[in-house]
Amino acid sequence: MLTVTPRTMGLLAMAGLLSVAIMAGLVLGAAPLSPSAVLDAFLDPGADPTSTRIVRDIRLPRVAAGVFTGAALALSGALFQALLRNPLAEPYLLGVSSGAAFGAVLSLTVVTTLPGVIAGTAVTTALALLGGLVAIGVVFRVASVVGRVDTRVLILAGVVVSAFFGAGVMLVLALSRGDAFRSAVLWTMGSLNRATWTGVAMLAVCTLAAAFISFGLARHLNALALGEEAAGHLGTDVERVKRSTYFVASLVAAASVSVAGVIGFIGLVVPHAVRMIWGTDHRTLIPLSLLGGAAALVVADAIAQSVVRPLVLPVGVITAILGVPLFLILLRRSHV
Amino acid sequence: MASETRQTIRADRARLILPVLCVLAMSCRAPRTETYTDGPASTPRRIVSLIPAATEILFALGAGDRLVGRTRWGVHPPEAAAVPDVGDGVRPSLEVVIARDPELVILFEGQDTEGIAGRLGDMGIPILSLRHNSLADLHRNVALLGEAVGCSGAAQALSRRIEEDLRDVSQAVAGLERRRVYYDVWTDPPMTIGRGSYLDSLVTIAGGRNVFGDLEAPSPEVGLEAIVHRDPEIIVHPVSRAPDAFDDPPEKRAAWQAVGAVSAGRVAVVDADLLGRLGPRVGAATRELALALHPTARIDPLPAVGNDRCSP
Repeated sequence: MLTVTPRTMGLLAMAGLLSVAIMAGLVLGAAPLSPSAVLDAFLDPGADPTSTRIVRDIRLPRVAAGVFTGAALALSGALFQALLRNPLAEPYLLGVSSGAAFGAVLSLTVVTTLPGVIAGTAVTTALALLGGLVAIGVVFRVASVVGRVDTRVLILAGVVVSAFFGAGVMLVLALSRGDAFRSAVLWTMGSLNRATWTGVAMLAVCTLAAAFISFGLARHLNALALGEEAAGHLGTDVERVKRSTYFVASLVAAASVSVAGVIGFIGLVVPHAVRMIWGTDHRTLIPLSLLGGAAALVVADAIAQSVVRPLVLPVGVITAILGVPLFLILLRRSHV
Repeated sequence: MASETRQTIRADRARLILPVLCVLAMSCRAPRTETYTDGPASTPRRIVSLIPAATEILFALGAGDRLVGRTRWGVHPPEAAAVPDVGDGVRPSLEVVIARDPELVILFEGQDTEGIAGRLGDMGIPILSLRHNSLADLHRNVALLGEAVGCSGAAQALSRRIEEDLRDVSQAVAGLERRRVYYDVWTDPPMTIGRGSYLDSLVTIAGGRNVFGDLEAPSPEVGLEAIVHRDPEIIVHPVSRAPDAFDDPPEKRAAWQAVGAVSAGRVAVVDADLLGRLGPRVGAATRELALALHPTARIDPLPAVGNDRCSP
């Protein structure tokens, strides 16, 4: 007889939710297209070329970017919450986003105005990634001076490095020209606008690799929840798990920021919501967070694109406006 | 012992910093203390213009020699370059403005400048806040500036000339088919012009129709999909001629290939510094736009902006 575990149920439910989200993402957008026009764009070679361009060249890469950015953020949040054993932990806490923002702002205000440098997304994405990596490296170096990673030092070092790069961003912006200022400020507000297939492919590879490594870490993260000493007694190589978790969570966050900028709330709220419904086992939490984060961001972006068309809203506004009430409802119900 | 040494060093530093601060303080002039109760008693002789277009209008009215401050970007006409630069016009520095000892400060009307307008008012320095959105605003600004500097006659003449320039362009493209235009204000997120912008009027006068003319906001943020969907015939892409300007041509943006006009190469470059100013050269700006939309049209160059001397 076939038994369905709650974990399988959860996976099926989340996969269903993600499918619905992707369909919504393909049907809803800044241009008013009917669902049948969207379907024709994929199936009918003789469909209206304008609709086909909208669906295939704009919506499809956008939805793909939403899927992998959302998954990356929720995975990173789940890993940071486990590593730091702190419910407030989220992908941007330890300075990855500030480092990336500094790289991007430097690119938009200084590097792309140098003679011979071609202004474009690729340069900014690369410098944002570099900025994020520098922040990750500095924080890790500071927190691991005595041969082991002290998570309390990690938080402090992260917050301080984040503040430092934040100040760097303000400094560069204060000294920049009017239009460079605007492009830099707009960059730091996250958006899926700048997603290219190259960026999405890079992010997809990072996210899938990170997910694969995280599945291997899940059992050890469960042990770590009991405390470092207890985890050691249970046969977990605590320092190795902490190091791997830190790097996987940081790298995947850096990849997402370099592609889509800073999109709040998904990384904080999605893992908590999954935990409240399906419990704290990381073998369930990690895959469900991946799927849930993807679904949440794709839906939020579809709403941001279509609710006041042809105007568009920043996606971060929707993730917060919809995320907060949902989260509060879950929070109340899980403590009744 | 160690902490004592450190304290001594700190005290030494303070001693070094103090004289520097004193010299800096003395090099700044004290602000004027006279207060005006009801605007300037006489026509102002020292004017700081924090709006590049107002700088142009004052020169066109023949009152350019009374300018003692302009923004970093207010360098048209060429004579304006000789006026001292007071920096940014939207986020102006109160100190730098006051150091010019102005009898009138012209600034953008809006939240960004509300604070500085209030402070200048408190100090008794007359201000003139100008709205900067529509063609009607331009005529109003010309009249207000003419009145403020005692050159109302010149202001009326300038307003008439602007009308004539626009009429000339409009007549030159009168028989031609209207082109559907997307005006490319900003790339990411895509930002264009709405009905609230004077550029929307200029596009119409130049024989075009703004595909987002139904939107109220002066510079709405729109979805790329919506641009593809409204399928403009021409993308008007303003580029600044400034040496350090940032340019991001639509043809080079991967996602923009989905826009029909971009993939078909129908992108017209216009001078951002000319079109970005709601001033005396608005006719020339419209002519540039008309030539971008109708490359085969014959539009005679407009007469140069006069620079008569108007004595109050």
